[in-house]
Amino acid sequence: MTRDIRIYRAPLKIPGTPDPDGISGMAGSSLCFTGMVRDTEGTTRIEGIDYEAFTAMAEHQFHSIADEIEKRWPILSLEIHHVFGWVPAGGGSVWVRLASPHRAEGFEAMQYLLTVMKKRVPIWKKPEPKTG
Amino acid sequence: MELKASEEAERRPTSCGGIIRPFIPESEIHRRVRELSAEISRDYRELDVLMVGILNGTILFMADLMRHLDFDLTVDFVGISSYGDGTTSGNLSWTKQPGYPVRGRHVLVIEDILETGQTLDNVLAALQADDPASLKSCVLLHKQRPDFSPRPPDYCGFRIEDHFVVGYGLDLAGKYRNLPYIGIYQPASSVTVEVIEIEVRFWSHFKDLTGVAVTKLQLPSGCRVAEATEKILSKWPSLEPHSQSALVAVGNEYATEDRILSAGDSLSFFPPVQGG
Repeated sequence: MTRDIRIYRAPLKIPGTPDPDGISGMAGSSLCFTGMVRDTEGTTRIEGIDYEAFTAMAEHQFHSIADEIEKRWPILSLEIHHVFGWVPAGGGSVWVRLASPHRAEGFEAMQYLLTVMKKRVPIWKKPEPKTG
Repeated sequence: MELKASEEAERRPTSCGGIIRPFIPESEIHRRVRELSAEISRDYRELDVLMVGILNGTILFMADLMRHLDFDLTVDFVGISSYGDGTTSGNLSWTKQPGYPVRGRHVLVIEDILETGQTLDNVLAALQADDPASLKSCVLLHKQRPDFSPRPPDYCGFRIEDHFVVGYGLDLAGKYRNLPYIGIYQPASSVTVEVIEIEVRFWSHFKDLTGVAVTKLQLPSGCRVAEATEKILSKWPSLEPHSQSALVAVGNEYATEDRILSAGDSLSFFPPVQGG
């Protein structure tokens, strides 16, 4: 499995390039997911979210989650880009692209990744309420 | 039998500083006490026996010893004071006098530890004056000291080197008689505790609560994550309400409570994560 894990300061730059080299022809499915910031947090209107990341540990945890995914599903490539810093409402905070031979294992692995990420990857949100 | 102090055993801190290191385990004491009981039963069966324990150190030894004696006997305790504040008879100052007549009986005196031999000699001399049929001694511990060579006891549990022993009836400033094993007390001055320094990092609102992002913390070597957490919570009490949900990592890995910390480790303390 090819792997590209990045954590960097916002804004999120969604790659316009195709899937990584070497998987063309083998992949029957390429899933793209973008996590976005809503304009409400609970019942409060917000301007956006200030993300804080413990970058070294977050990368390490993403890699360990990727290891688990690799063992469970026949994934061909996995790219995870997460940003920290200020993300205004409507902006993207995380982008994941996952290629697999068939769509079923792709959806399962994607769901697993996003669920586990919210429990283990040390990134925190500080919502900024809308003023005026 | 002769025993040497074990080095690797667990250490118990004491209220007067220093530590108690386990020496003779409970199981070993019980095994040896049963052997002594068998020996005494064999020697004293059929006789009119008065067993006299010297307070307070013999309480557990007496209790364990007598419950394994399989013949009828009379049990008594005597107390003697080293400070002369009890009632005196001869050169002995009793805090509790013998409660039964000694004359014509086979008397066995029980002592916790034989050190200078002074106490036991005095008790034996006082009882001998009352004309017993026979008079013997049984000690739990016989401490080998280079400066004293007391008359050897008739029965001996363990011969030990010159250590400050506590537990199983023996005290340290009145305490620790209730320890079920025998330990060696080491005063604080003789215990060297190595100190390690670790880095502590707070994240997210823990950083706001403490006003600290990165700091150093000194801990005793061998310290576990649980002890470090305790120290962090007492140093930054504003974290206390969040302690149940707090996550702890060492380096880039989540750490369990019993993980042992090493010098230079970086311990991160943070609230539940919320990526995505």
